[in-house]
Amino acid sequence: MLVISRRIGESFVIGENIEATVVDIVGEKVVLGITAPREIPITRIEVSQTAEQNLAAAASNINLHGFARLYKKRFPGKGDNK
Amino acid sequence: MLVNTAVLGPVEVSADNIFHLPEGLYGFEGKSDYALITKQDEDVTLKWFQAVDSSVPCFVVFDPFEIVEGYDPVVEPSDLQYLNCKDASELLFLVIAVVPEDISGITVNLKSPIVINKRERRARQVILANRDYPIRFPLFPQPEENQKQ
Repeated sequence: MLVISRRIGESFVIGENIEATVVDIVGEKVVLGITAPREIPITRIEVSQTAEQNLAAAASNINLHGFARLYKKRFPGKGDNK
Repeated sequence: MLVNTAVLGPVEVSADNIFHLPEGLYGFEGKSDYALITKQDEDVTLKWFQAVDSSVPCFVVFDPFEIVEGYDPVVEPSDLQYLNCKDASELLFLVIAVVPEDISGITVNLKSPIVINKRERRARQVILANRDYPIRFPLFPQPEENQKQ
């Protein structure tokens, strides 16, 4: 992984037509401004990971046979997952 | 309304358990209406989030407050506004599970719950501001698997 450090207002480019600028740093958060061609999707990584998890969830073993027994063992006294 | 479920066949669902997600779920942007289906099994309530207009997709879901002690979701102001949330008490949280063939390997996505405004029955899958909530949280931790991935 390439690691570069930038100050507020400084930029870097990816390829020929993607430019990212550090707009601000607020506490622990870095605010980035990104200019890219319309056809390049830009999303937070959690979004694509969540989409991937949702697809896996929908294709998973959803009938839950035998689940209640495991659940009660894991959460004793909390038998009722209401 | 009668909902054709993937797991339980046709089930009558009351209007307060039907929710509208204008944007759908991530990866399923075309499906906007879901029913929350529950079934008792040995004192445990099983829950599914089921598309209403077709039997797929159907998701196993949990109330995160039941499975994670101290679950304290931080919802972005823009999401609260989207949900027309006036008070946190009107919100219902559900987390989606991935259930492998061996059910003990079940994981839930604590980072991206479905947040429902019960009053308006409007919902959105949000990415929480919390930093420490994993997308794949094992519900039944297995000691020998702790080092995996």
